[in-house]
Amino acid sequence: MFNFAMIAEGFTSVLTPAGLFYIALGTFVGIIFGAVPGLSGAVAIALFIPVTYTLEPHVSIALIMGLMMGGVSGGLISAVLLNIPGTAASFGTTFDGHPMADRGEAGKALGTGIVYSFIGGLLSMFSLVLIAPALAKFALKFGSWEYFCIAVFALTMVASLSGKNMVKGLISGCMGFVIAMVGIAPVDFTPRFTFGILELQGGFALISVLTGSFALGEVMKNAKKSRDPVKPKVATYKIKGFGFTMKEFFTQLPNCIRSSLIGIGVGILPGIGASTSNLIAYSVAKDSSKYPERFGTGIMDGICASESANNATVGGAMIPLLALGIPGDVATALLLGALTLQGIQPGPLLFVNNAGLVYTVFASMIIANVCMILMMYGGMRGFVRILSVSKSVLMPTIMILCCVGAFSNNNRAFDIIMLGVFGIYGMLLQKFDFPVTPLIIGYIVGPIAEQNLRRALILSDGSILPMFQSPIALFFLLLAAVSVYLSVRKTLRARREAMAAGRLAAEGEEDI
Amino acid sequence: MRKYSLNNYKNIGAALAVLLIAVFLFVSSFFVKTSTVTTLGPEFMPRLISIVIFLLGLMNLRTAVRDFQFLKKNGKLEPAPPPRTPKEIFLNNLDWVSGALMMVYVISISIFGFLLPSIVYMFLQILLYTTTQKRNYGLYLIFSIVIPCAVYFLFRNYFFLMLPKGILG
Repeated sequence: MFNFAMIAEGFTSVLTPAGLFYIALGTFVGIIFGAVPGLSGAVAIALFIPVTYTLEPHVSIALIMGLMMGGVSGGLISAVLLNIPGTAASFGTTFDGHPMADRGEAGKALGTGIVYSFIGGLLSMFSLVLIAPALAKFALKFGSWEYFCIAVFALTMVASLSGKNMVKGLISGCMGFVIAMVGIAPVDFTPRFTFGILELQGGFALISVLTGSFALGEVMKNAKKSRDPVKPKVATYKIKGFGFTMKEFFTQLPNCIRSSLIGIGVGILPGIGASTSNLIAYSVAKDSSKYPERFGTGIMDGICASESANNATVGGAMIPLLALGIPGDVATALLLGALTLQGIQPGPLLFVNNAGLVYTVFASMIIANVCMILMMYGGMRGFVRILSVSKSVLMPTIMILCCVGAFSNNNRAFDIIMLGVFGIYGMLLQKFDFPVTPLIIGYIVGPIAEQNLRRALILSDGSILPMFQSPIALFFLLLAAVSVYLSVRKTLRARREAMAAGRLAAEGEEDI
Repeated sequence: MRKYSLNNYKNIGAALAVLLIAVFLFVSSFFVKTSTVTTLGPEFMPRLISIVIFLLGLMNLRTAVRDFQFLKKNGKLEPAPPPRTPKEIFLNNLDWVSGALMMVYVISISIFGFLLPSIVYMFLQILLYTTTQKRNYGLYLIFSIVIPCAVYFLFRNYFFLMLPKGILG
């Protein structure tokens, strides 16, 4: 429950000149790292950990919180302006963010992402303080069967995000799964599909697959488009406020709250992370919308869902870290390292022995969130001007930055080469009308499904009965079934309408 | 000379490629060495996915063949394009030329390091993006040198990120 004295103490420890400086610095650097395709908040945290050695614990936490909040929010900028997700957490933002920017509403798209990122972050922070221990206990009930069923539910998004051709979308999703299988198999660590190549034992880095198949395809496509005589619509620089009305804001609020809850829920489960939560939230928003056909054309709903969820995941991921000492993703794993270096041991006793630290984290996240919205709002008009930079200079610069990002992942030149290979692969997929989004979903979620299924079967001696005996697992299986039913129904309805239109057209021609 | 464009056959070609990939994957799964005894070995998922891809590939092939036959029956097949000059072929395939340039760039980074290939790549890519009438070679050269150098110094000296070294250091 709220302990106002402890909250005040938390804010007091952070609201010092040093604390504020490091939060602002961390947020600013985090935004830059998040915006550059290939880099991420986790890379920024890894680089700044040595800086934390010389800082007080509460200032270290302030810096790292700034990097985390900035890193997850920065991906919005490149996702909207360039159709290239800065991080995997902003992948869902590209679906509606870039079409909106193409229509000349880049400011509105950015404004939507910024505001709902802020709200999603705030909601997750309050959940951290109010119900962290209870949520952490609930998270402990999730075993391998539950994780497998969540992965199955997440995989059903492939059907809903396949666009017009579901079969091609499913093939693309399966290909993503195949790409993820290259390397060391989970559970028994057997090399798979390495063909004797040492570098393939590490598999393909997410950054090479995601940035390559998405970003490089854009660089290649623009080489042809840049010579088109028809110029794209210029972005509007005059933006009032965040670019949308109060009415639009309140209309999106239920979507924001639902997506934030999804983000928090995904965040408290170690190993899943914001790269999945933004896609789940987007898919749920689309399936429950009155106008699902408008998703992907540039509407606020899509951006709101994705950005609320990914920022809410940050707070959600802090819950198992602080309450149980279990990091939820790479960024929280690095934060765990930083806290351990400062002599602080996260875990169940943290709330008893060092409760002040929890409130320091809370205060740091709130202030970092405020810094994020101020910096992003202040830079909004400047970010939009990126669109006025000639593509002939911008696109090669992005390619160079992508190579920097790919290399920074593992310090392997192989990852840069794979970036190029997946760029060609992504272009091939688009040429043959295979959607790229399911590829990424299959790549991210497929291994989670396989690992947990194999683990679960080992623990249950080959029996799948425990899956049907777990209410949580059954709940997610039911969600998966509903998701598949809705997608299939939508596809059949669209086909019936197309056939009816074709019949009418044919009858019209016969009359003539 | 061809009567119809190759574009008409692209969906059938893609479907056949998917079937081949599925078969390759299925066969490769038999070469996965199992070192432990578990309910589901490491070969299970590749085999399952390859079967799923094969079935989906058959559905895709059926749709592609049906659509092709429909277009052929209604005389709506895309005609073969008129003969093109090498320059027209080049301009029509700028996206693939850009892709080839990117591949050369990423491979050369591992050999020559980050800076020099980035400068050369940037210059050539800018040329690909611009038409011959509007080119300002001096300005492009300045951009091509300044931007990669700025990225190099920023990420090496301020963010302490490692960058590929190559034979030139």
